[in-house]
Amino acid sequence: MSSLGIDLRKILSNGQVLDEKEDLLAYANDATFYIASRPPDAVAVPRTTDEVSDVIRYANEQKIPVVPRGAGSGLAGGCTPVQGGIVLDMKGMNSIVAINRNNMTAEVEAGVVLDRFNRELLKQKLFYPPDPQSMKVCTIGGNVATRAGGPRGVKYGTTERYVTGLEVVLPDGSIITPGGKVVKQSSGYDLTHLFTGSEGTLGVVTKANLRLLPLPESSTTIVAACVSADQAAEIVSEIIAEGVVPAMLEFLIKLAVIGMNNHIKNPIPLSGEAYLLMEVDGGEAQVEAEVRKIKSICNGLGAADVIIVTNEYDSKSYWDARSKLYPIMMTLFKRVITEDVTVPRNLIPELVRRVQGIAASLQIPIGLAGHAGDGNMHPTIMHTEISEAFSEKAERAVEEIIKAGLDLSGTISGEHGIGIHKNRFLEMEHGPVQVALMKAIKNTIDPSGIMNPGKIWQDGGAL
Amino acid sequence: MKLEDYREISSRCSQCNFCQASCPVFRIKGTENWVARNRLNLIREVLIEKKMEVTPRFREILDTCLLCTGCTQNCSSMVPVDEIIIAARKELADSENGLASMKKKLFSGVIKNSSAMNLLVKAGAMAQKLGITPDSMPGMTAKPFFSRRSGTLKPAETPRARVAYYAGCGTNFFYPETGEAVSDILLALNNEVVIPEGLTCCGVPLLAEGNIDGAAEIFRRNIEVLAATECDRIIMECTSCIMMFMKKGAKLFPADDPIIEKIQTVTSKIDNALDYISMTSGEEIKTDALNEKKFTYHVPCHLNKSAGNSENTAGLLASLTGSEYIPLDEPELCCGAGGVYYMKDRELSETIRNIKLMDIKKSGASTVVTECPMCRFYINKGLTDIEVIHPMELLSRAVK
Repeated sequence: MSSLGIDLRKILSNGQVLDEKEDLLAYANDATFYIASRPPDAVAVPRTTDEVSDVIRYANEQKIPVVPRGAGSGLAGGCTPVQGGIVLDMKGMNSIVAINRNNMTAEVEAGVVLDRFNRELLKQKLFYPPDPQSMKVCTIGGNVATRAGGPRGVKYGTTERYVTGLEVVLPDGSIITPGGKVVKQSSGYDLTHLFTGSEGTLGVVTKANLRLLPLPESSTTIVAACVSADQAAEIVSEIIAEGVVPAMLEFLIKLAVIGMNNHIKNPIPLSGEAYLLMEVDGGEAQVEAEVRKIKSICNGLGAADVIIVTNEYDSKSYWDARSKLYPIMMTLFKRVITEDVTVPRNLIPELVRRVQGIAASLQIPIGLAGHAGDGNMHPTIMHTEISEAFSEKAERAVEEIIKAGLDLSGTISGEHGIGIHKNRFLEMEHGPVQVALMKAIKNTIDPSGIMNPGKIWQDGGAL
Repeated sequence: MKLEDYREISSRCSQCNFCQASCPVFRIKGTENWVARNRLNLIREVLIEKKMEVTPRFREILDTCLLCTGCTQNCSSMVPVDEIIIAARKELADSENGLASMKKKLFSGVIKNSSAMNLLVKAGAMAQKLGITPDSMPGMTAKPFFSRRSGTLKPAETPRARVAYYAGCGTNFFYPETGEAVSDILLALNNEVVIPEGLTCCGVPLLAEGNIDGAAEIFRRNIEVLAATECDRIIMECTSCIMMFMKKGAKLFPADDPIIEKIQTVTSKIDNALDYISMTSGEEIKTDALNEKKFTYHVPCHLNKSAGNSENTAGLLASLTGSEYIPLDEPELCCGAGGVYYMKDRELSETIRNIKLMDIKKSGASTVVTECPMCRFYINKGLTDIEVIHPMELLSRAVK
């Protein structure tokens, strides 16, 4: 047994520490194994905030890296232990502490799986909108760390909009509780939202207070088959400009729908080159009116086909297949790299054109399947082979997509986080002054640099 | 089903980790070392690329899988995790010595070398030798199904079809009433029923141990018998047997083996008993009201991997008058038995089962319907005051 393993077993029980290499391999990577894969030296599975604090304090004294981890389903390498050390498997803290209907808030531990949280809320007709497509496994802690979101971002925004308070263990082991159960606060710096999105580089989120909404009365799914990607993008722009706010507005190239159809009992009719998969929700009259409006916009701009999905089973199967799009694409290609650039919504048609231009000039297939409604397009670099030459082209495509996104006043990441996948582009987006400020914050909170080193910054964040 | 055959396909794993959602072992143990993704990654590192050694921990992680196929059914990258684990177990077994493997080989030998007729006697003796206590196995019937019904059974009127009935080991040895119900209903709906001689275990238990060659041997025997049986359709009632025939069997042989053609002919005729009945005579079935009863349904793990459809069974339950069908919260969660896995790792199996039992209790049902004899035994062992039966038995009670 390693000395680290012995030490951790003095803090936690034997069953809460993993250090056999067969166990450690499970924690070597997230869903982006091609970016980074290195097993940690040990995995600790704390069950309480105090246990997290004890482990962190020990790691800080010993200068051992600590990498907090939820489900390991991330798309930016954020929870990969690139410098070894201790992975904190937060799935051991999985209690839904309280659902407070009267205040429309909930308090949950970091390891609560989003899907389980949703099922509990549904029993009370409550609604927590952020819907990263890994929702069947991903944890609230991981969501908070990355400001995760999904299709509902267009109407409801992403995780940070719902976080009202946190419990965080700092690198010196102290426990703080910024924010709280109040839905507004104008007191001091907003530390709650400093830790939200900090990707485990400032401390460990152990609990979150989350704002809830009443469950929408009804919803309807619409599929618009478009004659081209350009046309689909124009329709998205027009829907937004017309003031219609669908709950979800997904852009899908034909290939994505073909892949999804393998998992759908009554497949989506293939009558277009690009598709918009949409849901409108709210009161019944409002839903009806918005469906009509969307249909007329689609028809007006020449969509090949507009289907109002009346069968609930079908609409559920469409959205279910959409949530699995990333693994589905692996049945069609050798590797799939999902980009996360997000642009102002009126510039979606321009982003689509630029991505198509990049694909054409590099001779590399780039799919478009994303949350078009909020400008988050997920251009996807689809590897037809695994080779050095292809990887080089893919790398250039990533860079050009990111430059295009920034050129259009966008951001390099809408919901996945920076991790290590995009850390070399951070300064390109924020400029040297902002990055220096961020680093100063990092160094103040984590002077020893033990928290998730190598993420967000290539150099670990030292000034 | 050689590990080498899966090298390419296993690289399709996107590492999305969504398999956490459907793994009963992960649900109990809670850490990622027990998830399909890690099992696949370990098999790659240890057995395919040989970058890591075979260790007891590797074996443990590989063995601690009930082959419920939850991960495989839900894998959007369509990686056949169960088959890769079986192939890896074979590689390990081939290189293994010692008592554990002796036991396995002995067990396999009994199934492999027995006709259905004397499988029962030998298995009983075997169980004693291995220290399997009587209460950890379903009680063996004094009069197996094949000695209750055999040969060709003729309906009262001119038959609509001649069907062969392959009864699984569970029906033959533990629950012959299932077989009686299947044949009764088939006859009542004017089918001539032939129960071919010379059939034996489908091979699923051997596959689970990684004994691919043994499974192939008896599977071939079954195919030869069924191919030589004159019939329109072949009816099966056990979801694991059907999975074996429909999804696994052909993969046990090289592509140029002449048996492949016969497998295709045989499997093109196979129907799940319930599906066959609803397809051919759904309109004609007249049922009496069942006495006030609340039913629920446990979906066997292998059902959705075979020729069957849990919606049909649920639909049947819902359509029976005088009964109330209450769906479980998680009808598709594994019951914990995993065939005979529960004998090896009692604690894990019982912890998984507890979730199922809580769900059943909450439903308030007095009868649980399920197609798999091992689920039936294992659920009933945990909840002795409820009844667990095959849907065909339920139907036979209701059919006029």
